[in-house]
Amino acid sequence: MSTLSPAGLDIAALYQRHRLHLVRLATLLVDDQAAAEDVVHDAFLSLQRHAGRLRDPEAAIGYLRTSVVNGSRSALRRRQTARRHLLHVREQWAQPADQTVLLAAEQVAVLDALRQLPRRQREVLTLRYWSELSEAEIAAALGISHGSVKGYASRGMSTLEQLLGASR
Amino acid sequence: MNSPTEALLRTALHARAELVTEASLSVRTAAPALRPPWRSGWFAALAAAVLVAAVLGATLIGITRLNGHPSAPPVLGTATSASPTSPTPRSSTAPATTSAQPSTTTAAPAPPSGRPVPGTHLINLTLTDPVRGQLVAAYVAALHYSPAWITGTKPGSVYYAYDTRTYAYLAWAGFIRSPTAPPQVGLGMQDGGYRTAFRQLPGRTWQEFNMCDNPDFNAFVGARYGHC
Repeated sequence: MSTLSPAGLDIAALYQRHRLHLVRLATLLVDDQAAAEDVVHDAFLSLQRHAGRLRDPEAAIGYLRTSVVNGSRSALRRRQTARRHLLHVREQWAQPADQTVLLAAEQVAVLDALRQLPRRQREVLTLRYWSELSEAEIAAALGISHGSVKGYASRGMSTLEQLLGASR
Repeated sequence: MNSPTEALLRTALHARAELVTEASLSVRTAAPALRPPWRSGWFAALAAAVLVAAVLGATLIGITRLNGHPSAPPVLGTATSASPTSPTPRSSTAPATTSAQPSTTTAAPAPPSGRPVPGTHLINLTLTDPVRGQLVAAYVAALHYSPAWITGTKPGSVYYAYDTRTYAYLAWAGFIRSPTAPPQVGLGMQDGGYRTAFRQLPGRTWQEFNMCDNPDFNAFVGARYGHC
């Protein structure tokens, strides 16, 4: 079935090519694969709705990346709201039981430290060191300036080093 | 040149990401597709409303004609002309409620006057215009924005307190962008990006901080900060 949008975007092809990568990005941001998959699905739905407004089809992946980052923030906020209002919270977003076995101890420590960073620092470091985006691409994805990206990355790394130093 | 921490972070992120495999994804093999408008709920509701209105209109016209006088009282139930209700004023009280705070960057350890927040080490303070200005300046500086892009704080969004344990002033504020700000600023302020937590340690300027580091303050703002 063809899923060409009015702007000429082949959304099915984009989905096949980028879904896994985007789910991985969202998983690193929300730490829960099921929520990450929903975030990515919502991002593609949003792309479907707004594809007509994209002036450049090449911008679709940037649009998706921004949607995933914003969707991940919303998912974290919803999770916090649920925790606040529910008497008993079933932690559906708990880490897989085998995660600590599959990751080295120092990797678990780094990921734990990363979770303690302020949201923007965490997003910048994830986009930089996992998505391997340039500062310009990170700035575009997060809607902040190049200077801010540098600042968040520098402060994030510095805090990360402190946290890891303290835990050693 | 990558530092050891950078290398470790990169390795850890890749290792964690690779735990998500194609096989582990839910079975969604196709891109999501939008329903055509005639299959969506709102379209059906709109069509039903138009149909009902048409039937009612036709009935009323028919009855009026049967009565032979265009101004004859309608036979069907008339719409009551309910008196307009005055809108209930919405409270726009800011969470901060009490007294003022020194506007200099050299915060004295002596606690400012204010209302203690029960069960915490916090004192609830009133936001003053100088402090509001400092928060806006801190937000602008943190994001490397032009000062003209942010017009102020969002009414009712600022929480402001003093922590007697750490001698730090704490604030959580939402900001408003100027209509002339570039679209990039709007993008950055989406999904909670317009709100930021700040801390001012004695003798320091306001700096962004992770509110999860201060559970008292996180509770004070209703734990709206997010994932802690």
